[in-house]
Amino acid sequence: MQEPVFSYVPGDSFLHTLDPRTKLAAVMLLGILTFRTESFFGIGALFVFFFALTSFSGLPARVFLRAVRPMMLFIIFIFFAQLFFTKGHVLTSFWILHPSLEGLQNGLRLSARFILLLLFAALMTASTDPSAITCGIERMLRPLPLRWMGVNSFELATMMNLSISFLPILFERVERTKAAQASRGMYFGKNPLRSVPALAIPLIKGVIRDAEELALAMESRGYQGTRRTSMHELTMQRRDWIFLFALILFAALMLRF
Amino acid sequence: MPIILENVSLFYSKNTPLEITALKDVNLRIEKGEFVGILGEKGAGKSTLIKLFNGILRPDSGKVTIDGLSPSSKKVKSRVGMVFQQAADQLFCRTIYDEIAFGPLNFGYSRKETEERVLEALEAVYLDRTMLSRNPFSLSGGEMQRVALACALALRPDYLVLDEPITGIDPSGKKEILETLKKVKDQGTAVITVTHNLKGFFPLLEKIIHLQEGRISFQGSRKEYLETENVPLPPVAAMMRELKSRGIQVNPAVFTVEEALEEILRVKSIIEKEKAEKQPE
Repeated sequence: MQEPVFSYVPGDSFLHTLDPRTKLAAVMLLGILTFRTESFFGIGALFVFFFALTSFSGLPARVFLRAVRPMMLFIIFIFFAQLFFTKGHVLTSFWILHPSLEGLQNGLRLSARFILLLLFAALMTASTDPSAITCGIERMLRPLPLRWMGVNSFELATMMNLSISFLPILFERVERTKAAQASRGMYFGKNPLRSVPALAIPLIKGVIRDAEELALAMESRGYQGTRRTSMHELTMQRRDWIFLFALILFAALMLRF
Repeated sequence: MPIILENVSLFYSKNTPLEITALKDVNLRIEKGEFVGILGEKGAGKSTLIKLFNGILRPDSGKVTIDGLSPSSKKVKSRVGMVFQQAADQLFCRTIYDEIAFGPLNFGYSRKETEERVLEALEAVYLDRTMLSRNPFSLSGGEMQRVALACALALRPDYLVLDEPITGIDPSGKKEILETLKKVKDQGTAVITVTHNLKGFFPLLEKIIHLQEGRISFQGSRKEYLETENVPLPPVAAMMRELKSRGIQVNPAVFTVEEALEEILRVKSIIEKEKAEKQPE
């Protein structure tokens, strides 16, 4: 089975040991920075920053390739749309297309920004256990008055955790159903309309049954959707504060120039 | 023509750090009309092995021939019927009739022919005709499993392959499934089943394949199997082996409770005879 696009690669690098909240905040900050940086020099600096972080992380390059590859078509589309539909100094003309210098710049800038965003996100997800990410999100959402909206951060965290851990089970179920239907002579390529219900109905039914059983089992073990102790007790270490401070300094410098 | 596997190896997640050897150098031959049991611990490669029998999986090396056909041939799926463990994973139609007819229609049989096959398959699994209009999701686990079995039988396969067909099923459902399989076998279809339930299946098996970590550790007749060390035994055979190890001279190669009883009574009469001879008065 193919590995999912954003997946955790266990390790013990500097990045792995950072608090998930630090990394979440860093990704948000870097996201803002990416879209506030206009100059090519600034974008280049961000790429350099990314490579510096990556060399700390000890993560293999395929993690990042896998994150960018599925979006490549979209990025290329954006590049060409910018190239051909931005008015400005026409570089050269062929047929009805008039690529402009401004378009080329805009296209490069925008695609570089999307790639950066994907890379930073991949860096975080690859160096952080998914359950630690949800734990971090839960902790960050806790001060917000979500209860007025009928949810609380604990329920959100549980939901996210369960969704993540159920994905592989879902894929396995798809494979099982596919094998069973193929054994009865169904060819998925030949008649897609007929194969959709044959796959979807057993799948949805199975998922609902699993969810019901899981809910019962969780409640039987005392789950109430309220505050509970966690597998990951998050504490901000000195290195988290240093990292965040350095990052904010870097961001301030980038925005200044 | 039999199912033949020659030097078959299969790996999951090949060329990644997660690579697992599912099967290694497997050689086997299953003839039409045989009743074959595939045994082994969890993770030994049993379910992987049976998926080779109808071309759902292809080996990474070695050769699989099914009835003289290559596993990629479409005909293979109609010659080899498969019943998976979780029957609920394949049921999706509104009625049981549609469910059983799904296979034959996929292979382009006429409506009349399909109806004939549906009724025949339903009868083979001891389900009532009144069930045909019912929704498959209203069935019990055992009934679902029998409908899944009927789905496979409706293709009139030469080989019927099952993955744990009686696990987690109520006793009466078990009995009916075993009877169906016996009947199917008597009609000349090979029945190949993965099972942990030796108690239920042992009396039926003619050939046993025992897998261990992806390799075949035993392949042979039921009698040879009982004489092999370090393999899981059905309760009756385990008891007979234990009796023998405690000095009671029974023949441990028995397959059913009745045979065991007969054997124990035979030994008992011998012991009583000897006793009588020792005490002349």
